[in-house]
Amino acid sequence: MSETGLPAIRVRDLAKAFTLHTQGGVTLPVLRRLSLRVDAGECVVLTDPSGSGKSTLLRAIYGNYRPQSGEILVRHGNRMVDVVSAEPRQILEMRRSTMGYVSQFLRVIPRVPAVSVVAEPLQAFGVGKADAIERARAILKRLRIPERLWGLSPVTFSGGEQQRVNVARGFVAGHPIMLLDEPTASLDASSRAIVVQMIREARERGTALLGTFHDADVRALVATRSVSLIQAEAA
Amino acid sequence: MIPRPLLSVRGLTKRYGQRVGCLDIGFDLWPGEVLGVVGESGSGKTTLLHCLSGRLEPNSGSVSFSQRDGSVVDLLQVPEAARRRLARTDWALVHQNPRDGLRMGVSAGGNVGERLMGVGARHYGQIRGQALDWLEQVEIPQDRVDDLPVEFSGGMQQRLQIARCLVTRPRLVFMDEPTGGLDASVQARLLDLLRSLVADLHLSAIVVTHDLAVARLLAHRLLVMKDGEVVESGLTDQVLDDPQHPYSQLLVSSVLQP
Repeated sequence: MSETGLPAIRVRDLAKAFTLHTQGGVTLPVLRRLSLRVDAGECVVLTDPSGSGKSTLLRAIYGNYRPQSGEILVRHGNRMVDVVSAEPRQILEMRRSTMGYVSQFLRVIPRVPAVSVVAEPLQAFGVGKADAIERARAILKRLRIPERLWGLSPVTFSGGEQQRVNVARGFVAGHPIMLLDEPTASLDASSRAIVVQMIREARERGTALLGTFHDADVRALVATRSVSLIQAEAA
Repeated sequence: MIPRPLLSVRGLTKRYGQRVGCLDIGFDLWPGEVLGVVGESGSGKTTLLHCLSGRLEPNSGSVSFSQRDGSVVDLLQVPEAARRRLARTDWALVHQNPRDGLRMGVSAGGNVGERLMGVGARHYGQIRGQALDWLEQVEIPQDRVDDLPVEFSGGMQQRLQIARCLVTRPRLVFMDEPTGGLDASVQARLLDLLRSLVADLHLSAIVVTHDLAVARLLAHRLLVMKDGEVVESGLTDQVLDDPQHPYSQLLVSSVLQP
């Protein structure tokens, strides 16, 4: 728990369903009255099988999906902000300084070199360009992206290389809350070990992490606690 | 100073006879924010842009603009002369077709310098220096400064138009399909340029586009328009990844993946 006693994330009675208007208006309920808490220094791992709403929950916390009801309180500075009812610019502000997110795939922008892709969250946070580039280079090096690739757009990178750029971009700014959606899925064993180490270091710094990892070994190495959404909803 | 929106639009309505151009549009645009307006042809997005940029007279509504000195004016009420002055100093409009935003018979440097002279610059050397600096920023070789825009490719013309718009450091930029009509590779270069300029200069912008990929790259926030009304609004990635309204879902699901 953080010094102030505020949780990092507190989800209350969250419900999210998708209504597919282009496919006959079918409604798919995904999350029902879900409650969950994550504190600073914890790495909470979601253990349910695929299709049970793990990514949906992570995306809802990041403000990417819009829930129907409930609250997602996120500690932003020294107050709790409800993502569900927050204004878009407030969510963007929270993404800049509070919440980091690593997805399974890198969204590549043509022409933007890998080093700038990684430096961008730092610059958005107000770090000067030279500093941001230097820190981006350091984390790319740590993730063993060959230096000759740093100046190139990741468009032509392999899947594993793109995913390591994605992890670098997610971790570079040291956000106090990290949402991880299968960050190690397409990585080989040695890259996976580096990412595991980065997660453990973040945890020790007091970062609150919530994530999904299909690999049981990775789960065992990073988790301080496991949560099943299905059981959390039943409770 | 308490932060407040740069632009506050309320109840903006424009009718063409019986037909609705745009109906009861309301939103706030904050400093540094890029608002995307998406929808298909005829959805009213260009009508909205023209009403905001003063090229069309709406039937009702208000458009409050925060001036540099902190005072707020209703753009629909201010005298024409004051509106023209704001249009020179505080706004810029990037047209879809660069020919509409450039003077084709004037050199590239002249096109950029002219806007500076419009806001009172008189020193030739400084004007030329700034023009050269802006050509470089939009990736036009400096040795083309004396060439006419007609001798430029479409992508270069569009970049020149952007330099002409931004040289006076406007606070609000209107963009009408800024990448329309360009090849994909030229489009990517322009988008990348626009993205960094908007971020570096902390510009506020309203970008009308039917291209959702352009909207995702440039806009922080989206308005989805259909038949003259806003049917959905929200954070750009939320509207595109979890669209709520049937029409937004149709728009997103209709995009072909290359």
